[in-house]
Amino acid sequence: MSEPLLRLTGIAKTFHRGGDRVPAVVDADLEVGVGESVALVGESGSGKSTLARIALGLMSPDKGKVFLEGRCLGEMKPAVFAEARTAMQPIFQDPGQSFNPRRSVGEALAQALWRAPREQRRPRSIDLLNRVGLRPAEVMLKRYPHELSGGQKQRLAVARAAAMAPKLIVADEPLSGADVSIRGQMLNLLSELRKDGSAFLMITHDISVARAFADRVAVMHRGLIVESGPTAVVLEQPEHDYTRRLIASVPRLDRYVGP
Amino acid sequence: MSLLAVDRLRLVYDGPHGSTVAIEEASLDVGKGEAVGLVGESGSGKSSLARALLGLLPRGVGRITGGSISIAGRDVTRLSRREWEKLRGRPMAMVFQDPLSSLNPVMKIGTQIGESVRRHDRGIDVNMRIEELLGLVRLPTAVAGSYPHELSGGMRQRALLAIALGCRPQMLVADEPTTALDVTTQAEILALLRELRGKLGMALLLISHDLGVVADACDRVVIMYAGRIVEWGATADTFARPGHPYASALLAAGRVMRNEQGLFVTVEGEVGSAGGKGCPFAPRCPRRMPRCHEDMPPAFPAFGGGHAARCWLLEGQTP
Repeated sequence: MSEPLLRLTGIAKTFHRGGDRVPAVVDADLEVGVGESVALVGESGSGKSTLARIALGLMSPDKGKVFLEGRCLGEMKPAVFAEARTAMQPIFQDPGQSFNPRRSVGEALAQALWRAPREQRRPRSIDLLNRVGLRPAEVMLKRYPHELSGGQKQRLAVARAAAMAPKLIVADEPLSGADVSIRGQMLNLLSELRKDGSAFLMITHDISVARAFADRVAVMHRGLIVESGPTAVVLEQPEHDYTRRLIASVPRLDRYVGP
Repeated sequence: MSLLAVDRLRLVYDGPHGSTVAIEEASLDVGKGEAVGLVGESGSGKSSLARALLGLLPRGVGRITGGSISIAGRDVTRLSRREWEKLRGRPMAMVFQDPLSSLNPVMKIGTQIGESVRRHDRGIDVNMRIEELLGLVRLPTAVAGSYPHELSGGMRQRALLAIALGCRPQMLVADEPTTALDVTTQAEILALLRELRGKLGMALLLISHDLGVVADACDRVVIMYAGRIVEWGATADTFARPGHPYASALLAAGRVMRNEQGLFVTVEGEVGSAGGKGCPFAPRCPRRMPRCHEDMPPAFPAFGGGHAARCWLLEGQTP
Protein backbone atom coordinates (compact mmCIF):
# COMPACT_ATOMS: atom_id res chain seq x y z
CA MET A 1 0.00 0.00 0.00
CA SER A 2 1.23 3.47 -0.80
CA GLU A 3 2.01 5.94 1.95
CA PRO A 4 -1.15 7.49 3.45
CA LEU A 5 -1.55 11.25 3.59
CA LEU A 6 -1.39 11.31 7.37
CA ARG A 7 0.02 8.59 9.58
CA LEU A 8 0.23 8.70 13.37
CA THR A 9 2.15 5.92 15.06
CA GLY A 10 2.38 5.09 18.76
CA ILE A 11 1.25 8.54 19.89
CA ALA A 12 1.28 9.19 23.64
CA LYS A 13 0.70 12.46 25.48
CA THR A 14 0.41 13.06 29.20
CA PHE A 15 -0.50 16.40 30.73
CA HIS A 16 0.76 17.48 34.13
CA ARG A 17 -1.61 19.37 36.34
CA GLY A 18 -0.24 20.29 39.72
CA GLY A 19 1.44 17.08 40.84
CA ASP A 20 -0.99 14.90 38.88
CA ARG A 21 -0.24 13.08 35.67
CA VAL A 22 -3.22 13.16 33.34
CA PRO A 23 -2.71 10.78 30.43
CA ALA A 24 -4.71 12.12 27.45
CA VAL A 25 -3.47 9.84 24.68
CA VAL A 26 -1.99 6.51 25.76
CA ASP A 27 -1.05 4.75 22.55
CA ALA A 28 -2.76 5.68 19.31
CA ASP A 29 -2.19 4.75 15.67
CA LEU A 30 -4.26 6.43 12.98
CA GLU A 31 -4.11 6.84 9.22
CA VAL A 32 -5.93 9.09 6.79
CA GLY A 33 -5.54 8.29 3.09
CA VAL A 34 -5.42 10.84 0.27
CA GLY A 35 -8.94 12.28 -0.16
CA GLU A 36 -10.29 10.00 2.53
CA SER A 37 -12.67 11.03 5.29
CA VAL A 38 -12.05 9.54 8.71
CA ALA A 39 -14.24 10.19 11.76
CA LEU A 40 -12.65 10.07 15.18
CA VAL A 41 -15.48 9.33 17.60
CA GLY A 42 -15.39 9.44 21.36
CA GLU A 43 -16.65 11.21 24.45
CA SER A 44 -15.18 14.19 26.25
CA GLY A 45 -11.90 13.26 27.90
CA SER A 46 -11.25 10.40 25.48
CA GLY A 47 -8.22 12.22 24.04
CA LYS A 48 -9.63 12.85 20.58
CA SER A 49 -9.02 16.60 20.56
CA THR A 50 -5.48 16.13 21.87
CA LEU A 51 -4.81 13.65 19.08
CA ALA A 52 -6.17 16.17 16.56
CA ARG A 53 -3.86 18.90 17.85
CA ILE A 54 -0.91 16.54 17.63
CA ALA A 55 -1.87 15.63 14.05
CA LEU A 56 -1.93 19.33 13.16
CA GLY A 57 1.50 19.87 14.65
CA LEU A 58 0.04 22.30 17.20
CA MET A 59 1.34 20.13 20.01
CA SER A 60 4.19 17.64 20.11
CA PRO A 61 3.62 14.13 21.41
CA ASP A 62 5.63 12.64 24.30
CA LYS A 63 6.05 9.49 22.27
CA GLY A 64 5.29 8.48 18.71
CA LYS A 65 5.51 10.21 15.35
CA VAL A 66 3.29 12.09 12.93
CA PHE A 67 3.97 11.62 9.22
CA LEU A 68 2.52 13.83 6.53
CA GLU A 69 3.05 12.24 3.11
CA GLY A 70 5.77 10.09 4.62
CA ARG A 71 7.72 12.92 6.21
CA CYS A 72 7.90 13.16 9.99
CA LEU A 73 6.56 16.47 11.35
CA GLY A 74 8.97 16.42 14.29
CA GLU A 75 12.03 16.14 12.06
CA MET A 76 11.15 18.85 9.57
CA LYS A 77 13.16 22.01 9.06
CA PRO A 78 11.10 25.10 9.99
CA ALA A 79 10.42 26.07 6.37
CA VAL A 80 9.22 22.57 5.49
CA PHE A 81 7.15 22.45 8.65
CA ALA A 82 5.46 25.74 7.70
CA GLU A 83 4.67 24.18 4.33
CA ALA A 84 3.17 21.12 6.03
CA ARG A 85 1.08 23.32 8.29
CA THR A 86 -0.50 24.99 5.25
CA ALA A 87 -1.38 21.58 3.84
CA MET A 88 -3.38 20.81 7.00
CA GLN A 89 -6.14 23.21 7.97
CA PRO A 90 -8.15 23.16 11.17
CA ILE A 91 -11.81 23.99 11.66
CA PHE A 92 -12.54 24.33 15.34
CA GLN A 93 -15.71 23.86 17.31
CA ASP A 94 -16.18 27.42 18.44
CA PRO A 95 -15.91 29.67 15.38
CA GLY A 96 -16.34 32.71 17.64
CA GLN A 97 -12.95 32.11 19.16
CA SER A 98 -11.05 31.31 16.01
CA PHE A 99 -11.22 34.76 14.46
CA ASN A 100 -9.32 37.86 15.38
CA PRO A 101 -12.08 40.24 16.51
CA ARG A 102 -10.18 43.27 15.19
CA ARG A 103 -9.87 41.94 11.65
CA SER A 104 -12.67 42.18 9.11
CA VAL A 105 -13.84 39.15 7.15
CA GLY A 106 -11.91 40.46 4.14
CA GLU A 107 -8.69 40.78 6.15
CA ALA A 108 -9.10 37.31 7.65
CA LEU A 109 -9.50 35.77 4.20
CA ALA A 110 -6.69 37.85 2.66
CA GLN A 111 -4.43 36.54 5.39
CA ALA A 112 -5.42 32.97 4.57
CA LEU A 113 -4.68 33.72 0.90
CA TRP A 114 -1.19 35.08 1.63
CA ARG A 115 0.40 32.90 -1.00
CA ALA A 116 -1.78 34.24 -3.75
CA PRO A 117 -0.63 37.36 -5.63
CA ARG A 118 -1.95 40.46 -3.89
CA GLU A 119 -4.34 41.50 -6.67
CA GLN A 120 -6.00 38.08 -6.69
CA ARG A 121 -6.83 38.02 -2.99
CA ARG A 122 -9.99 40.12 -3.14
CA PRO A 123 -11.62 38.32 -6.08
CA ARG A 124 -10.77 34.96 -4.57
CA SER A 125 -12.17 36.02 -1.18
CA ILE A 126 -15.43 37.04 -2.87
CA ASP A 127 -15.51 33.72 -4.65
CA LEU A 128 -15.01 31.83 -1.36
CA LEU A 129 -17.73 33.81 0.41
CA ASN A 130 -20.16 33.08 -2.40
CA ARG A 131 -19.34 29.39 -2.20
CA VAL A 132 -20.15 29.21 1.49
CA GLY A 133 -23.28 31.31 1.02
CA LEU A 134 -22.15 34.47 2.82
CA ARG A 135 -23.84 36.91 0.49
CA PRO A 136 -23.68 39.60 -0.69
CA ALA A 137 -19.97 38.81 -0.60
CA GLU A 138 -18.82 42.41 -1.23
CA VAL A 139 -20.74 43.54 1.85
CA MET A 140 -19.60 40.58 3.94
CA LEU A 141 -15.93 41.43 3.29
CA LYS A 142 -16.31 44.58 5.38
CA ARG A 143 -18.02 42.86 8.31
CA TYR A 144 -16.30 42.02 11.59
CA PRO A 145 -16.68 38.66 13.35
CA HIS A 146 -18.98 40.07 16.05
CA GLU A 147 -21.42 41.18 13.37
CA LEU A 148 -21.92 37.60 12.16
CA SER A 149 -24.26 35.00 13.64
CA GLY A 150 -22.90 31.69 14.93
CA GLY A 151 -23.89 29.93 11.71
CA GLN A 152 -22.26 32.61 9.56
CA LYS A 153 -19.03 32.38 11.55
CA GLN A 154 -19.01 28.63 11.03
CA ARG A 155 -19.33 29.14 7.29
CA LEU A 156 -16.55 31.72 7.39
CA ALA A 157 -14.36 29.12 9.16
CA VAL A 158 -15.03 26.73 6.27
CA ALA A 159 -14.21 29.46 3.74
CA ARG A 160 -10.93 30.20 5.48
CA ALA A 161 -9.95 26.53 5.59
CA ALA A 162 -10.86 26.17 1.90
CA ALA A 163 -8.74 29.21 0.98
CA MET A 164 -5.57 27.17 1.37
CA ALA A 165 -6.85 24.29 -0.80
CA PRO A 166 -5.52 22.01 1.94
CA LYS A 167 -4.72 18.33 1.49
CA LEU A 168 -6.18 17.62 4.91
CA ILE A 169 -8.85 19.34 6.97
CA VAL A 170 -8.91 18.53 10.66
CA ALA A 171 -12.37 19.49 11.90
CA ASP A 172 -12.91 19.35 15.65
CA GLU A 173 -16.66 19.13 16.35
CA PRO A 174 -17.48 21.52 13.49
CA LEU A 175 -21.24 21.01 13.88
CA SER A 176 -21.78 20.84 17.59
CA GLY A 177 -22.75 24.49 17.97
CA ALA A 178 -24.98 24.54 14.91
CA ASP A 179 -28.75 24.40 15.01
CA VAL A 180 -30.19 21.17 13.63
CA SER A 181 -31.90 22.90 10.71
CA ILE A 182 -28.64 24.36 9.42
CA ARG A 183 -26.46 21.33 10.16
CA GLY A 184 -27.19 20.02 6.65
CA GLN A 185 -25.84 23.26 5.14
CA MET A 186 -22.53 22.73 6.96
CA LEU A 187 -22.30 19.08 5.95
CA ASN A 188 -22.96 20.03 2.32
CA LEU A 189 -20.19 22.64 2.44
CA LEU A 190 -17.75 20.14 3.93
CA SER A 191 -18.77 17.62 1.27
CA GLU A 192 -17.85 20.17 -1.41
CA LEU A 193 -14.37 20.51 0.05
CA ARG A 194 -14.08 16.73 -0.17
CA LYS A 195 -14.99 16.89 -3.86
CA ASP A 196 -12.16 19.40 -4.31
CA GLY A 197 -9.83 16.68 -3.03
CA SER A 198 -9.33 17.51 0.64
CA ALA A 199 -9.11 14.59 3.04
CA PHE A 200 -10.88 14.90 6.39
CA LEU A 201 -10.15 13.98 9.94
CA MET A 202 -13.48 14.80 11.58
CA ILE A 203 -13.62 14.70 15.34
CA THR A 204 -17.16 14.22 16.56
CA HIS A 205 -19.21 12.78 19.37
CA ASP A 206 -22.18 12.46 17.03
CA ILE A 207 -22.52 8.98 15.56
CA SER A 208 -25.08 10.07 12.97
CA VAL A 209 -22.65 12.64 11.57
CA ALA A 210 -19.89 10.04 11.42
CA ARG A 211 -22.24 7.63 9.66
CA ALA A 212 -23.18 10.21 7.05
CA PHE A 213 -19.79 11.74 6.38
CA ALA A 214 -16.96 9.28 6.98
CA ASP A 215 -15.43 6.46 4.93
CA ARG A 216 -13.80 5.07 8.04
CA VAL A 217 -14.46 5.45 11.75
CA ALA A 218 -12.01 5.24 14.63
CA VAL A 219 -13.43 4.99 18.14
CA MET A 220 -11.39 6.50 20.94
CA HIS A 221 -11.82 5.69 24.61
CA ARG A 222 -9.53 6.64 27.47
CA GLY A 223 -6.62 7.57 25.26
CA LEU A 224 -6.76 4.44 23.13
CA ILE A 225 -8.25 3.79 19.73
CA VAL A 226 -10.33 0.79 20.68
CA GLU A 227 -11.78 0.05 17.27
CA SER A 228 -11.45 1.28 13.70
CA GLY A 229 -12.58 0.24 10.26
CA PRO A 230 -14.99 1.05 7.43
CA THR A 231 -17.92 3.14 8.73
CA ALA A 232 -20.61 0.55 7.97
CA VAL A 233 -18.65 -2.24 9.65
CA VAL A 234 -17.80 -0.35 12.84
CA LEU A 235 -21.28 1.14 13.29
CA GLU A 236 -23.34 -1.87 12.20
CA GLN A 237 -21.20 -4.66 13.66
CA PRO A 238 -19.21 -3.09 16.47
CA GLU A 239 -16.70 -5.44 18.07
CA HIS A 240 -15.60 -3.48 21.08
CA ASP A 241 -17.86 -3.30 24.10
CA TYR A 242 -17.42 0.46 24.40
CA THR A 243 -18.41 1.04 20.75
CA ARG A 244 -21.59 -0.94 21.34
CA ARG A 245 -22.40 1.09 24.43
CA LEU A 246 -21.77 4.35 22.58
CA ILE A 247 -24.08 3.39 19.71
CA ALA A 248 -26.79 2.11 22.05
CA SER A 249 -26.74 5.40 24.00
CA VAL A 250 -27.75 7.56 21.04
CA PRO A 251 -31.47 8.33 21.24
CA ARG A 252 -33.01 6.98 18.05
CA LEU A 253 -35.39 8.93 15.88
CA ASP A 254 -35.68 6.29 13.18
CA ARG A 255 -37.98 4.07 15.21
CA TYR A 256 -40.67 6.48 14.07
CA VAL A 257 -41.48 5.86 10.43
CA GLY A 258 -40.52 8.95 8.50
CA PRO A 259 -42.76 11.13 6.35
CA MET B 1 -57.43 20.08 35.46
CA SER B 2 -53.99 20.68 34.01
CA LEU B 3 -51.04 21.00 36.29
CA LEU B 4 -49.65 23.68 34.02
CA ALA B 5 -51.74 25.72 31.62
CA VAL B 6 -50.24 28.42 29.43
CA ASP B 7 -52.74 30.38 27.40
CA ARG B 8 -51.79 32.62 24.47
CA LEU B 9 -48.74 33.95 26.27
CA ARG B 10 -46.96 36.96 24.85
CA LEU B 11 -43.57 37.95 26.17
CA VAL B 12 -41.33 40.89 25.27
CA TYR B 13 -37.85 41.96 26.30
CA ASP B 14 -37.21 45.67 26.72
CA GLY B 15 -33.90 46.88 25.41
CA PRO B 16 -32.22 50.25 24.86
CA HIS B 17 -33.57 50.33 21.30
CA GLY B 18 -37.15 49.38 22.08
CA SER B 19 -38.70 46.06 22.89
CA THR B 20 -38.29 42.70 21.17
CA VAL B 21 -40.98 40.06 21.00
CA ALA B 22 -39.68 36.72 22.34
CA ILE B 23 -42.91 34.74 22.53
CA GLU B 24 -46.14 35.26 20.66
CA GLU B 25 -49.44 33.48 21.39
CA ALA B 26 -47.92 30.40 23.02
CA SER B 27 -50.37 27.91 24.53
CA LEU B 28 -49.31 24.75 26.32
CA ASP B 29 -50.78 22.24 28.75
CA VAL B 30 -49.15 19.64 30.94
CA GLY B 31 -51.37 17.19 32.81
CA LYS B 32 -50.62 15.25 35.99
CA GLY B 33 -47.83 12.71 35.50
CA GLU B 34 -47.44 13.61 31.84
CA ALA B 35 -44.12 14.10 30.03
CA VAL B 36 -44.12 16.87 27.45
CA GLY B 37 -41.16 17.84 25.29
CA LEU B 38 -40.69 21.44 24.21
CA VAL B 39 -38.49 21.46 21.12
CA GLY B 40 -36.89 24.40 19.40
CA GLU B 41 -33.64 25.77 18.03
CA SER B 42 -31.69 28.73 19.32
CA GLY B 43 -33.87 31.84 19.40
CA SER B 44 -37.12 29.88 19.34
CA GLY B 45 -38.12 31.23 22.74
CA LYS B 46 -38.16 27.86 24.51
CA SER B 47 -35.88 28.94 27.34
CA SER B 48 -37.73 32.25 27.71
CA LEU B 49 -40.94 30.27 28.07
CA ALA B 50 -39.35 28.07 30.74
CA ARG B 51 -38.17 31.14 32.63
CA ALA B 52 -41.63 32.71 32.46
CA LEU B 53 -43.20 29.51 33.84
CA LEU B 54 -40.92 29.64 36.85
CA GLY B 55 -41.13 33.37 37.49
CA LEU B 56 -37.49 33.75 36.55
CA LEU B 57 -37.74 36.44 33.88
CA PRO B 58 -35.12 39.15 34.38
CA ARG B 59 -36.84 41.93 36.32
CA GLY B 60 -37.42 45.14 34.41
CA VAL B 61 -36.36 43.48 31.13
CA GLY B 62 -38.70 40.56 30.44
CA ARG B 63 -42.40 41.42 30.47
CA ILE B 64 -45.50 39.34 29.94
CA THR B 65 -47.76 41.52 27.80
CA GLY B 66 -50.58 39.09 27.12
CA GLY B 67 -52.10 35.74 27.96
CA SER B 68 -51.77 33.82 31.20
CA ILE B 69 -49.91 31.07 33.05
CA SER B 70 -51.60 28.99 35.69
CA ILE B 71 -50.04 26.34 37.88
CA ALA B 72 -52.34 23.81 39.57
CA GLY B 73 -55.31 26.10 38.92
CA ARG B 74 -53.69 29.24 40.30
CA ASP B 75 -53.04 32.21 38.03
CA VAL B 76 -49.35 33.05 38.41
CA THR B 77 -49.02 35.47 35.48
CA ARG B 78 -48.42 38.52 37.62
CA LEU B 79 -47.06 37.27 40.92
CA SER B 80 -44.63 39.34 42.91
CA ARG B 81 -41.13 38.16 43.60
CA ARG B 82 -42.07 37.23 47.17
CA GLU B 83 -45.09 35.22 46.05
CA TRP B 84 -42.92 33.31 43.57
CA GLU B 85 -40.44 32.49 46.35
CA LYS B 86 -43.17 30.58 48.15
CA LEU B 87 -44.24 28.73 45.05
CA ARG B 88 -40.86 27.68 43.75
CA GLY B 89 -39.85 24.05 44.19
CA ARG B 90 -43.38 22.96 44.88
CA PRO B 91 -45.50 22.26 42.93
CA MET B 92 -42.91 22.92 40.22
CA ALA B 93 -39.14 22.41 40.47
CA MET B 94 -36.48 22.88 37.84
CA VAL B 95 -33.09 21.73 36.62
CA PHE B 96 -30.92 23.51 34.10
CA GLN B 97 -28.38 22.64 31.46
CA ASP B 98 -25.22 23.46 33.36
CA PRO B 99 -25.32 21.82 36.77
CA LEU B 100 -22.05 23.42 37.88
CA SER B 101 -23.43 26.95 37.75
CA SER B 102 -26.65 25.89 39.49
CA LEU B 103 -24.80 24.41 42.46
CA ASN B 104 -23.14 26.42 45.20
CA PRO B 105 -19.41 25.71 44.76
CA VAL B 106 -18.50 26.19 48.44
CA MET B 107 -21.25 24.08 49.96
CA LYS B 108 -21.33 20.32 50.30
CA ILE B 109 -23.94 18.47 48.23
CA GLY B 110 -25.67 17.14 51.35
CA THR B 111 -26.07 20.66 52.76
CA GLN B 112 -27.56 21.88 49.48
CA ILE B 113 -30.06 19.02 49.37
CA GLY B 114 -30.83 19.68 53.06
CA GLU B 115 -31.74 23.31 52.24
CA SER B 116 -34.42 22.27 49.82
CA VAL B 117 -35.74 19.58 52.19
CA ARG B 118 -36.05 22.02 55.12
CA ARG B 119 -37.88 24.57 53.02
CA HIS B 120 -40.73 22.25 52.21
CA ASP B 121 -40.79 19.56 54.91
CA ARG B 122 -40.53 21.11 58.35
CA GLY B 123 -39.78 18.80 61.26
CA ILE B 124 -38.58 15.93 59.07
CA ASP B 125 -35.38 13.93 59.80
CA VAL B 126 -33.28 15.80 57.27
CA ASN B 127 -30.35 13.37 57.14
CA MET B 128 -32.62 10.42 56.48
CA ARG B 129 -34.38 12.34 53.74
CA ILE B 130 -31.03 13.32 52.13
CA GLU B 131 -30.03 9.67 52.11
CA GLU B 132 -33.37 8.72 50.58
CA LEU B 133 -33.03 11.39 47.87
CA LEU B 134 -29.49 10.34 46.99
CA GLY B 135 -30.79 6.78 46.68
CA LEU B 136 -33.57 7.97 44.37
CA VAL B 137 -31.09 9.55 41.95
CA ARG B 138 -28.73 6.58 42.38
CA LEU B 139 -25.83 8.40 43.98
CA PRO B 140 -23.81 6.81 46.80
CA THR B 141 -24.56 8.28 50.26
CA ALA B 142 -20.95 9.48 50.55
CA VAL B 143 -21.67 12.12 47.87
CA ALA B 144 -23.45 14.14 50.59
CA GLY B 145 -19.98 15.04 51.88
CA SER B 146 -18.57 16.05 48.47
CA TYR B 147 -18.27 19.48 46.90
CA PRO B 148 -19.62 20.06 43.37
CA HIS B 149 -16.14 20.28 41.80
CA GLU B 150 -15.35 16.77 43.03
CA LEU B 151 -18.17 15.27 40.96
CA SER B 152 -18.42 14.41 37.27
CA GLY B 153 -20.96 16.16 35.04
CA GLY B 154 -23.41 13.27 35.26
CA MET B 155 -23.15 13.11 39.05
CA ARG B 156 -23.72 16.86 39.33
CA GLN B 157 -26.88 16.58 37.25
CA ARG B 158 -28.05 13.78 39.59
CA ALA B 159 -27.26 15.95 42.63
CA LEU B 160 -29.28 18.77 41.09
CA LEU B 161 -32.17 16.37 40.54
CA ALA B 162 -31.95 15.31 44.20
CA ILE B 163 -32.25 18.98 45.25
CA ALA B 164 -35.27 19.45 42.97
CA LEU B 165 -36.90 16.24 44.24
CA GLY B 166 -36.29 17.40 47.80
CA CYS B 167 -39.17 19.82 47.24
CA ARG B 168 -41.52 16.93 46.36
CA PRO B 169 -42.57 18.59 43.10
CA GLN B 170 -45.59 17.49 41.11
CA MET B 171 -43.79 18.67 38.03
CA LEU B 172 -40.19 19.06 36.95
CA VAL B 173 -39.11 21.61 34.34
CA ALA B 174 -35.82 20.50 32.83
CA ASP B 175 -34.11 22.95 30.44
CA GLU B 176 -31.60 21.04 28.28
CA PRO B 177 -30.68 18.76 31.20
CA THR B 178 -28.42 16.49 29.15
CA THR B 179 -26.95 18.88 26.59
CA ALA B 180 -23.64 19.30 28.40
CA LEU B 181 -23.26 15.56 28.97
CA ASP B 182 -21.71 12.77 26.92
CA VAL B 183 -24.13 10.44 25.14
CA THR B 184 -23.59 7.50 27.48
CA THR B 185 -24.17 9.75 30.51
CA GLN B 186 -27.15 11.32 28.75
CA ALA B 187 -28.69 7.87 28.29
CA GLU B 188 -28.27 7.23 32.03
CA ILE B 189 -29.93 10.52 33.02
CA LEU B 190 -32.83 9.93 30.60
CA ALA B 191 -33.34 6.45 32.07
CA LEU B 192 -33.27 7.97 35.55
CA LEU B 193 -35.89 10.59 34.61
CA ARG B 194 -38.13 7.83 33.28
CA GLU B 195 -37.68 5.81 36.45
CA LEU B 196 -38.41 8.80 38.70
CA ARG B 197 -41.57 9.64 36.78
CA GLY B 198 -42.79 6.09 37.24
CA LYS B 199 -41.91 6.00 40.91
CA LEU B 200 -43.11 9.46 41.94
CA GLY B 201 -45.87 10.08 39.36
CA MET B 202 -44.14 13.35 38.54
CA ALA B 203 -44.95 15.35 35.42
CA LEU B 204 -42.08 16.51 33.22
CA LEU B 205 -41.62 19.45 30.89
CA LEU B 206 -38.41 18.70 29.03
CA ILE B 207 -36.95 21.53 26.99
CA SER B 208 -34.48 20.47 24.35
CA HIS B 209 -33.12 21.17 20.89
CA ASP B 210 -32.53 17.44 20.48
CA LEU B 211 -35.44 15.58 18.91
CA GLY B 212 -33.91 12.24 19.86
CA VAL B 213 -33.90 13.14 23.54
CA VAL B 214 -37.54 14.22 23.38
CA ALA B 215 -38.51 11.09 21.42
CA ASP B 216 -36.89 9.06 24.16
CA ALA B 217 -38.40 10.79 27.17
CA CYS B 218 -41.75 12.35 26.25
CA ASP B 219 -45.33 11.28 25.50
CA ARG B 220 -46.21 14.55 23.84
CA VAL B 221 -44.19 17.11 21.96
CA VAL B 222 -44.56 20.83 21.31
CA ILE B 223 -42.47 22.45 18.58
CA MET B 224 -41.51 26.12 18.73
CA TYR B 225 -40.12 28.31 16.00
CA ALA B 226 -39.21 31.98 16.37
CA GLY B 227 -41.39 32.59 19.41
CA ARG B 228 -44.41 30.67 18.16
CA ILE B 229 -45.67 27.19 18.86
CA VAL B 230 -46.09 25.76 15.36
CA GLU B 231 -47.02 22.14 16.07
CA TRP B 232 -48.06 19.84 18.92
CA GLY B 233 -49.25 16.29 19.34
CA ALA B 234 -48.41 12.82 20.62
CA THR B 235 -44.70 12.16 20.04
CA ALA B 236 -45.32 9.09 17.88
CA ASP B 237 -47.90 10.86 15.63
CA THR B 238 -45.90 14.07 15.33
CA PHE B 239 -42.64 12.36 14.45
CA ALA B 240 -44.26 9.86 12.08
CA ARG B 241 -46.42 12.40 10.21
CA PRO B 242 -45.35 15.97 10.97
CA GLY B 243 -47.83 18.58 9.80
CA HIS B 244 -45.61 21.67 9.63
CA PRO B 245 -42.83 21.93 7.02
CA TYR B 246 -40.50 23.12 9.78
CA ALA B 247 -41.15 19.98 11.81
CA SER B 248 -40.54 17.81 8.72
CA ALA B 249 -37.29 19.60 8.00
CA LEU B 250 -36.15 19.34 11.60
CA LEU B 251 -36.81 15.61 11.64
CA ALA B 252 -35.02 15.04 8.34
CA ALA B 253 -32.03 17.07 9.54
CA GLY B 254 -32.06 15.23 12.86
CA ARG B 255 -31.73 11.93 11.04
CA VAL B 256 -28.92 13.39 8.87
CA MET B 257 -30.73 12.35 5.70
CA ARG B 258 -29.70 12.91 2.10
CA ASN B 259 -32.02 13.95 -0.73
CA GLU B 260 -32.23 12.58 -4.31
CA GLN B 261 -29.20 14.64 -5.35
CA GLY B 262 -27.12 13.10 -2.57
CA LEU B 263 -27.09 16.37 -0.63
CA PHE B 264 -27.74 16.54 3.08
CA VAL B 265 -31.26 17.69 3.88
CA THR B 266 -31.21 21.20 5.24
CA VAL B 267 -33.29 24.32 5.69
CA GLU B 268 -31.90 27.28 3.78
CA GLY B 269 -31.35 30.49 5.69
CA GLU B 270 -31.09 30.93 9.41
CA VAL B 271 -33.51 30.85 12.31
CA GLY B 272 -35.43 34.10 12.10
CA SER B 273 -36.60 36.37 14.88
CA ALA B 274 -39.99 36.54 16.53
CA GLY B 275 -42.59 39.24 15.92
CA GLY B 276 -43.89 40.60 12.65
CA LYS B 277 -46.88 39.43 10.69
CA GLY B 278 -47.37 36.11 8.94
CA CYS B 279 -45.78 32.75 9.63
CA PRO B 280 -42.27 33.20 11.05
CA PHE B 281 -41.00 30.20 9.06
CA ALA B 282 -42.27 31.54 5.71
CA PRO B 283 -38.94 33.11 4.60
CA ARG B 284 -37.23 29.68 4.83
CA CYS B 285 -40.16 27.47 3.94
CA PRO B 286 -39.82 25.41 0.76
CA ARG B 287 -43.62 25.30 0.39
CA ARG B 288 -44.53 28.90 1.23
CA MET B 289 -47.49 30.61 -0.39
CA PRO B 290 -48.16 34.37 -0.71
CA ARG B 291 -50.62 34.36 2.19
CA CYS B 292 -48.02 32.84 4.54
CA HIS B 293 -46.24 36.20 4.61
CA GLU B 294 -49.48 37.98 5.47
CA ASP B 295 -51.43 35.90 7.99
CA MET B 296 -50.37 33.57 10.76
CA PRO B 297 -52.45 30.43 10.22
CA PRO B 298 -54.66 29.09 13.00
CA ALA B 299 -54.24 25.53 14.25
CA PHE B 300 -55.41 22.86 11.82
CA PRO B 301 -55.79 19.20 12.82
CA ALA B 302 -53.02 16.83 11.66
CA PHE B 303 -52.57 13.06 11.69
CA GLY B 304 -53.57 11.41 14.98
CA GLY B 305 -55.57 12.54 17.99
CA GLY B 306 -54.84 15.95 19.47
CA HIS B 307 -52.16 16.54 16.85
CA ALA B 308 -52.28 19.96 15.21
CA ALA B 309 -50.07 22.37 13.33
CA ARG B 310 -50.27 26.02 12.42
CA CYS B 311 -49.75 25.82 8.69
CA TRP B 312 -51.99 26.87 5.79
CA LEU B 313 -51.09 23.68 3.91
CA LEU B 314 -53.31 21.75 6.31
CA GLU B 315 -56.37 23.94 5.69
CA GLY B 316 -59.25 21.82 4.44
CA GLN B 317 -57.15 18.64 4.56
CA THR B 318 -58.41 15.48 6.18
CA PRO B 319 -55.59 14.33 8.40
